[in-house]
Amino acid sequence: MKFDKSLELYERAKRSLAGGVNTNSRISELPWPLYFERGKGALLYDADGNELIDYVLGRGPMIFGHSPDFLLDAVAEAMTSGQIFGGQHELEFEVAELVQQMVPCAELVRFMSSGTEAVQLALRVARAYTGRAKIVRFDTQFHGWGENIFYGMSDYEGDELPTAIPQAKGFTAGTADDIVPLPINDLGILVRALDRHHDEVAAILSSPMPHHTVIGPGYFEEVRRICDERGIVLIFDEVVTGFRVAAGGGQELLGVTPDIATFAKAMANGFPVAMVAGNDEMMGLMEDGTVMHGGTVNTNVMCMAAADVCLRKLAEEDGAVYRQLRSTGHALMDGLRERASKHEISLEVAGPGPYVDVTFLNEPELPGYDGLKVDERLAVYDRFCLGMLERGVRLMKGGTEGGSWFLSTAHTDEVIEKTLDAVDDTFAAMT
Amino acid sequence: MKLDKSREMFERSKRSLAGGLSSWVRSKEPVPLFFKSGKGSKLVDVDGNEYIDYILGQGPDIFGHAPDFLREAVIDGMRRGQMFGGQHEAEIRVSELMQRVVPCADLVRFSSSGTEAVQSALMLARGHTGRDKVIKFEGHYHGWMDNINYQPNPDAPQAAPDEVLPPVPMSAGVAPSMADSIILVPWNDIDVLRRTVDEHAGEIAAIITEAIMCNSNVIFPKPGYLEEVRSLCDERGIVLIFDEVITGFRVSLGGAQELLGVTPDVATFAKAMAGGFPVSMIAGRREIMSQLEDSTVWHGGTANGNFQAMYAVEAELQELMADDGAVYKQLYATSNRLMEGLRALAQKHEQPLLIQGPGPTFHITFTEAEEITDYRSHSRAVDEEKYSSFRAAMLERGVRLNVGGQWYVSTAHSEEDIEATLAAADEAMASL
Repeated sequence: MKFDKSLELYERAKRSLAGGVNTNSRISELPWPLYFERGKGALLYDADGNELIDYVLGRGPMIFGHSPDFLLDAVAEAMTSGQIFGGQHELEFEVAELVQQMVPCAELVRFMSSGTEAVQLALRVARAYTGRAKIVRFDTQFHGWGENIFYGMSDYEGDELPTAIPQAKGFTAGTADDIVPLPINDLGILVRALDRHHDEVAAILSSPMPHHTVIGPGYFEEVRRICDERGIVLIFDEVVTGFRVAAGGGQELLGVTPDIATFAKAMANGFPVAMVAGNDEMMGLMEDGTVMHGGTVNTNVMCMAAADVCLRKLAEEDGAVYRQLRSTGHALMDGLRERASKHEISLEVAGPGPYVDVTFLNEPELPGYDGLKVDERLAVYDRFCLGMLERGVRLMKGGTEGGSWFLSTAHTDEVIEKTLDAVDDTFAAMT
Repeated sequence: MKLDKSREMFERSKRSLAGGLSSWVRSKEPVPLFFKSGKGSKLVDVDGNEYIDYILGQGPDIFGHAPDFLREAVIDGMRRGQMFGGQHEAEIRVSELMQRVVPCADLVRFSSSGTEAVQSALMLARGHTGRDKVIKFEGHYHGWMDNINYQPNPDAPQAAPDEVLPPVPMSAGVAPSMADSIILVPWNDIDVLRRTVDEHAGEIAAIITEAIMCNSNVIFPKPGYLEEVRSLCDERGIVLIFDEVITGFRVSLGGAQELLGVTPDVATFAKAMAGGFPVSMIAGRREIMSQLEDSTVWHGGTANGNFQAMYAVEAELQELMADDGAVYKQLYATSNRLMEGLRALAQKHEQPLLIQGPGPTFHITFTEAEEITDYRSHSRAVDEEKYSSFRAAMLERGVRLNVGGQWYVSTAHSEEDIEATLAAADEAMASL
């Protein structure tokens, strides 16, 4: 399979667009950033004329696949009435009311354009509510690229607490002081850190279902209890999980309700809509402007029309979409495990179904060896991605441990079959 | 005028949307209006009232509401796809157009909001200089993020003109750890700026400014001021950032930097570039922007460069570039007619009215002052109560104006609209 035209376009793009791409995670795409002509359902068509089965789905948003007609028709229709009023329109509260019905923590909501912005508003509300500054965040999770939260975690030993490491240059100096970075799944260190920073922690921020992580039973229930006990705001970042794993997001599946949660991606199938949802008391701080939240383009007509039609479909038939996604996801996971065992590859496959996390635990050339470090796991995953791309399947490059696959309702049994054939061939070539 | 349905919807909205609306600026309206539709210069609200609109979505609708060309272009784009988590050719086409029209645009990047674009600009400046502090000016607005969401000290309006006072956050919940990194100084005074830079020698990463201060009274820089700021930045290795979220593509195709002939190192854009679609841009010098190439400075965003956004920007740019600047000739002609008409009416009604600004956006103030050149004199001089009465009287007569006095004009504002607006203003001023 050739990607020459994409390479040519990439070279051209680098002359006007910094790095040739519009968001930094796209720089590292393999073999190089690809250019797409169009997408329909589970398929993408690139500049070289290749047809690719897509598990990137815009990094999560396209829960109904690319270019679903019902979405495009709704947006095209809505656009005839205008784009942006600098005022209100009915769809704003209609979508907000839908969200109230779907999301457990949603007593009041606010909309904006990006998940990054949503996290910023959630942090601001938490700080205003508690009058405290520090935020507990967990290692390897991504909460947007805001300079006050885009931090990693240092190594630590014994009773020490890890320190915050900025993930890029250019952050305001003081931001590191506000971050309390911790490993997840360890209540002991959490309590130790909260004791150390007694009455300074405004919020604990976490995805309810972090990638490549099995959350210990009762962990989030205990975190919830600790937050209540200490007057700390519990924020779930549901930018990935929201409207993807269930109509009510990860909080619905977990059965743990945060004070505030952030959403984006799957709520509008490819339109830039994000949301903060939370309890009356905290979100109410915005009512009189105590907490300020701006944004000229918030709730523009196109985005609200997209969210409206997507949420309605997601809520249909008591979660039919999620039953379908889970069943497709499980067929994919079973198939992956089966092919892996056939080729004696130690592969970890996990996830709720609507997305699937895949990690290589061994070197395919060395069956049985089971001790890969993270970098090595990612290197093997890269080889796998390239092999799959050669065979017409586009995967997202690995992140923390391996890679995440996103599924849509357009991923049919036939698509899964084709995918698993490609997996079989790729594994064969790797071993 | 009946606003019952808007009132009713506002009450309903408050039960699901915090405060009943989606952005703080919209909360300043006495009755937040709910709109059914917009076309051209007109908006129709849910009670059936029709307005000539001078808010234009707070600037984006430079061709008026729902222009057909924009809708068609976006439908064409989104039929191909929405978001790929990958690239498409329209991103390149738009970037290349930007290089042609925006003076500082060696390289660009797109995001979704002006707020995000400013964050990138600040990160690039801090990354480039290795310094921490940022100078912002009183009365300027650069989005709602913690590190920049500061307003002047409440004592500033009464302080000595060159006294620099500690700023205060515009919101509760702003992380206090960043407060030391921001310095607010009065605008349009090169001496106070020089002095401040001297006091923090080697610590200033960036000076960020609206090239025309649209967020307070629409104030032009004094002759030579921006040139001096530019050379001060060059002397001290400070990154000069123009926030062109309002002025970009509105006061001139190449923004205020083109109109005023001063090129910043980095500039941010949003609003008028995309006609109401959530798109923003950061454009800057190669040396600074290239920090994004190897992720030294990070710039993220799932939605960045989405199809709808890029097709909207491409269509807007093509229209803005058509016929050698015809759009801008029209915008300036329309707004000059409006400004002159309003001045004549003020004279007739013996109202002290000051009108400032380039035209495509301008500001009207009831004040005895002959000129307002900075935030402090603006705060002292403005008769807000009178403007509110004027605004309410205009709304009664079918003209929708911004709270605060800033007007936006579109190409859809016809001769007839101007006449109707001036007729309404005649009555409104008589009623004061």
